[in-house]
Amino acid sequence: MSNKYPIGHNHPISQYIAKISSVMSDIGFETSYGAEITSEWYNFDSLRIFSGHPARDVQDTFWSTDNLVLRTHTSAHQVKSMESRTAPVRMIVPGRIYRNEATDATHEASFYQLEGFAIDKDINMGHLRYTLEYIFKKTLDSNIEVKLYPSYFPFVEPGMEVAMKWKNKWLEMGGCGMIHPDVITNMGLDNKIYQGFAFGMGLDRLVMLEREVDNIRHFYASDLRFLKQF
Amino acid sequence: MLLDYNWFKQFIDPGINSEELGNKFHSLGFSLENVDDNIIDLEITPNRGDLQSIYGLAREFAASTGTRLKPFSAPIQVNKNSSDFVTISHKAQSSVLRYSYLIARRGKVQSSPDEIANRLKNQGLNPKNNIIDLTNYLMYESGQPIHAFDLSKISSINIDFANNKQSAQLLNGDTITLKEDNLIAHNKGKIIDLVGISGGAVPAVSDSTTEILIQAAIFSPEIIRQSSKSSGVKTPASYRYERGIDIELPLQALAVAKEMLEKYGFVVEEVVDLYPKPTNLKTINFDYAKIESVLGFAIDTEFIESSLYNLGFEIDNRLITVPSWRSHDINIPEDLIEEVLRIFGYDKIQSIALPVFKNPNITPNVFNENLKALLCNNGFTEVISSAFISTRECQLSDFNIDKVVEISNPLSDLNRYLRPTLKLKLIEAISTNPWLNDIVLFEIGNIFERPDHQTNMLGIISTKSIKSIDGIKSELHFESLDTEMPIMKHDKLRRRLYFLEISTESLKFETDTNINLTTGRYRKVSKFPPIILDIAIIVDQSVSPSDIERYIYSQSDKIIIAETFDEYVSDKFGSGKKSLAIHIIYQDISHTPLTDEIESLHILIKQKIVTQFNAIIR
Repeated sequence: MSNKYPIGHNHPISQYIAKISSVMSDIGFETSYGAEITSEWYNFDSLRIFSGHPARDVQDTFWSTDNLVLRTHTSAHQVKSMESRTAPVRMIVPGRIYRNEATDATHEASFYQLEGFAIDKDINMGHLRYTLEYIFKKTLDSNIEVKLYPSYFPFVEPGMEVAMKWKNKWLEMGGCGMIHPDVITNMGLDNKIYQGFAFGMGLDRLVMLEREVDNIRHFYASDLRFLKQF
Repeated sequence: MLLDYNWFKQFIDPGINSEELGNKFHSLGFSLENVDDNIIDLEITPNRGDLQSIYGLAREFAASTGTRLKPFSAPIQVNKNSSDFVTISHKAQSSVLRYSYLIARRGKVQSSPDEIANRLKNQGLNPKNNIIDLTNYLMYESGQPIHAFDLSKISSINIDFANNKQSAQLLNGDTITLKEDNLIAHNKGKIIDLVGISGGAVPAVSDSTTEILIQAAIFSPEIIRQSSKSSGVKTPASYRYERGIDIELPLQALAVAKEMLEKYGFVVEEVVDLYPKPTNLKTINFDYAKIESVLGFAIDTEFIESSLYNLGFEIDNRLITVPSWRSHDINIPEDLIEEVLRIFGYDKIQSIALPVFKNPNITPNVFNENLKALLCNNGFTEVISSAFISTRECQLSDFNIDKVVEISNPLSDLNRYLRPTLKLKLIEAISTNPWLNDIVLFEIGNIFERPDHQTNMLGIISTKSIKSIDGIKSELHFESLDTEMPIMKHDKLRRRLYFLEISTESLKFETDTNINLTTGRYRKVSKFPPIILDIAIIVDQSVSPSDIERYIYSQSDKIIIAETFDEYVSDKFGSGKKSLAIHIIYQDISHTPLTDEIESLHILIKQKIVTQFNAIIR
């Protein structure tokens, strides 16, 4: 009989991506990954984050010497991915993003985000709320409560912050909203016909909650005392 | 933005306490960071420059609750629309949208009244004198940055862009070197103001000042942002200018300035408003049916119109006129939907199930995940390592540095390059776990080449040679990594490693395995090194290794990992028996584990396993 020990371990982030891809495919979402090094257009301008606007400051950016951008969010894949697709579309983008900022227990120079968007003729904010609840319920806890607050991101309008109740505390989980009509245009679609929603969340954060991990650095430290727990 | 509850009450009585007021703003979209007594710390989103003031916040509260607000101030009476004293160069004209000022004389610079001094202290400022305090006070109250010049020290104010390498001394005493994108004011060539950002040291108001010019101007947000970035100077004034200021605000702010100055004994002699190209108010055609289409439910016309009216919009048969203070953030019908929804309440959005959609792009096999699952089934453990490498790591390797993606602005040298191979970080991953003898790790991730090539790679690193991998059909060639290699020395590795790197696209493998989702919750890993001890036992074939592992975990919180590493079924152990070998990794959260203590614990655990599982120690 062949020896099946020691058993291997998939990284908890990979496990979460496998889980989210599977539950999202049940409601029509494909999974796409996108490029980690991209242009200013896809990461910023196509999403209305113009260089003269303070919203750019929110995301400290790594620039390459070729004047390209390490994507600061998975939203950089929105306009790019639509070059090879057309509406209707439903997609999630789990992947690595980069922020040029000081690091600590909850901040890393690179971490994972989960983007999602859906576009069709009649997609509305009720569908967005449904999708967010679906994600939290299917991957974290089937009884989770969700709250939406107004917020601002240049590429959605109306824009919102989504919070969920976790162990009796409201936690802000990410930004979302209806895709700005200019972004729909940048995707090559007619914004008089098509509308849609988009959301973006910290994927590490979701896994930290799921697995009760207290420090984001554990994920990227390659310490087997951590990895073999999962 | 620090909202001073008592200052706020000067314009509106909210009828609720400071904590409740903070929560109200939170529900309107401005995160409540903290409430300290009567100071409410709100995070104002970058689109809402109009809320960077006490009055702006009072106006927002009034709109959202339908309550009455005291008007800020009627605009000041203007004497002149031209000036010999202030000139704006041709090049700077499009950057100066409005330049209003007043001149006051015969006053006395002294300390501010207590109420003003205290309110400034609450904003974290040190009160200086009644004129400098007036400029700050008015900015925090109205949102209009104000600047005061000592008139006796200048003969003119000339606004222009700086010459390259010109130097200027700022109010705080710092001397900076300017560039051509810095908008400045000069007096006979001497710089007296880094416009919109900070005053110069020279014409600053001092205790001996008796005549002043109070400036309330509007500059292009983009120009101030660029100037602030290039000079590296950020101030509360530049912060507000970048976010956009109500074009009607200067004359209102000057009216309050006049009142205050007169109280200090000054006589206001002249009010000038340079506003050559008045801005028209924006209008938007708003089809209310769009609301239902975006929200998924309808809102009464009456509610829509009263909300917009309270927010300062004018409504004429669905043509909506945007108030001047919202001209920077309201542009399209979707912006108006958001305004109505903010008043209506985001909590009223109901979940609506997505219609069924057969997405042609969903494929049954998720390429990377199947590969990850397959490698895990081979007993390998997956890591996700940093995508960056440092200058040092780059130097220790033999790849062509010209092709490596270099970061132009890293905060740390650790983030200098993007990895051109998975090798370096996988070698480092082995060195991270020096207490384990047999390790096989893999990573699936992107490697990069200039300018923007990204290739998805599988990297495997192992302490023992690997002949084949179950489920992979491609031929695999592992590279043997010698301990003499510079990068191996750098990571202090004293044993040979085996490494493979291959693009996932070119790899042929069986795609029918899915990632096994485990339920493990994190147990805290000690920062002190562990002690690893093994157990080898003979048990009935029916005993599952995972049952034994679970039993071991339940024995002590000093056990971080219990891992079966060998199972061998053979009749030589007795009929129906098998042998098992288990690593136990012991740790102590607060210190390096004591060898004696751990060894006794280990013996105890062995004895208990013998009893519990009818085992024989080998």
